[in-house]
Amino acid sequence: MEHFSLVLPVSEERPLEQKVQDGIKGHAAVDSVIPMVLQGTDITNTFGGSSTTMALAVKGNDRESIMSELGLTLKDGKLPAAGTKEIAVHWRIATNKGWKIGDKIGSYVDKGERLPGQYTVVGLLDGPSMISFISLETYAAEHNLTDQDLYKTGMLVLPKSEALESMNRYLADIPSYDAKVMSYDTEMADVNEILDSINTTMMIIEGMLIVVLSISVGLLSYIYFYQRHNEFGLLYAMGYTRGQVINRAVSEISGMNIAGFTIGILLALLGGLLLNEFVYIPQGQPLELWNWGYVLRTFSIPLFVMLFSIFPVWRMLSRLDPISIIEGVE
Amino acid sequence: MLLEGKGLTMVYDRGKELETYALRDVNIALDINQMIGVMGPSGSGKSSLLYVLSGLKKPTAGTVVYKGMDLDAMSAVERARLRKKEFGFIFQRHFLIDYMTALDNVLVGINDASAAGKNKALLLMDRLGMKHVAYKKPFQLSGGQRQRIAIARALINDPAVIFADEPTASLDHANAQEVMAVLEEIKAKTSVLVVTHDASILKNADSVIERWDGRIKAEQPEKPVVALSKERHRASAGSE
Repeated sequence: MEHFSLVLPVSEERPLEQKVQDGIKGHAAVDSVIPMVLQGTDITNTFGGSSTTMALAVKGNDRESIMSELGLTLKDGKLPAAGTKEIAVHWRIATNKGWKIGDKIGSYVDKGERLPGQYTVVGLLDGPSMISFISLETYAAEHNLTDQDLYKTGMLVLPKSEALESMNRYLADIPSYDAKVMSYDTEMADVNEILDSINTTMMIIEGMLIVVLSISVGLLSYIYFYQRHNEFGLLYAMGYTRGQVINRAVSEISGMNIAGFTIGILLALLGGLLLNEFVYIPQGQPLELWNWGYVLRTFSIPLFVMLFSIFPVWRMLSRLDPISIIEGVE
Repeated sequence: MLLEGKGLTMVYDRGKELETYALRDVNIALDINQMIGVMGPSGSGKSSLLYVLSGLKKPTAGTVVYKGMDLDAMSAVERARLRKKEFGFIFQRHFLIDYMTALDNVLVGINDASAAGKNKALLLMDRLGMKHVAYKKPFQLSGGQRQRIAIARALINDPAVIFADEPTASLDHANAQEVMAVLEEIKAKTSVLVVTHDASILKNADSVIERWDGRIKAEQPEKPVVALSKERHRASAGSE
């Protein structure tokens, strides 16, 4: 949606009115308008839910310019011919759905399929946008629509250079009873709403993790260093200062936490690589394996664990009496 | 004098109903290359004397002077530095660190794991007949071997004084004699103060003093101050 926006009728009974079409076509920020019908097919996402990908019914020549705009190429097979019930799908969608070239798909074949009718997969696409193409000519023939009528079923609107924001501002002002607009802004608002919800949930889980880990690892550290109190008592007696002994304990705790964090990150990367290789890439949804923002946020876990581990150990070592230890009183 | 304690008094539970005198007006002096044995039953204050002389504890009254420096005037950090640089400690329990090798345990005394430090530790272990166990963990050693490693740890910083608190108490007779032989050998370079309740291990000490109820029980009961010299004198049992 960084390259175009979609304007769709609010319902089948209420196609896009001429004044809406004319307004869009005549706007200064609009480069061109392509008639289309928006359909879709669902894919299973990483966590078992589903997401809908676009299946655009467009004319052959329009399809080429859209593919060029979106950086899409034909990876395998061919593109749908005009007037046929053929479909070219992105390879990730095909992988996710288990489709291959030659397969018959659609709601006639699989009642659970969102894409209405029956299509034959003839090509696989590659590129950054997970999208599929079918023939608009076929749709027009099935519904007895003229070329002019096709604009009523939906419009893919391409902005002039550097004019996406201006175009989207105009589209956003179209009354919602006249048309449904899908733009970068509307999609991002939806995505951000979902992400905010996920982030809030993750932050709550992370907070709980920090509390549980801080208490449990803090206690474990205390027990671990308490079991070594003979060693620290001896060091005091031999002439190590309290500062030196505490520094030693702090270095060990910090070292263990940082080493644990680093190993954890490496194992997570390895796990991610394996999951991608064997689970998610076959589903067409590879995981993002590295994100500095998440890494830094996750670092708050060892940081808090360190603090909660250091404090009780520091307190214990500050109060340690070497003579009690030498005499076996403690 | 290398190390001198003057009028040392150590009172536990001070200000409480029942005050306990671990040391009562004790004077003691340790000269260079001297081995002094301090004997006495449990609770006689002999360990307290060692703690006070080594700067581990401050006396309630009296002063400890080491090479002309008053330990009482030093801060805790300065006393810690003095212990680390000038003193070595051997305790009844070896206090070897379980997860370290014998060699690493010896190196704890100087906190230096460099090649030079390791060579020094290995030479010292060799001198004590312990080089062959350098890379063994404490649990793989016998009681006598562990205590000899503890002695090596006490010697690694070339101390001027070794404080040994019941160094043979947890050893059988043969091992105890071995450990004492090592300490007697050390005496040529380092002064040694041995606290023990076992008279048999002090037969080669330069001086042996007996302690009873916080005082030094000497041949002259009315004079609790004992000036120690090369002359060997064993205090007799009896009331003060």
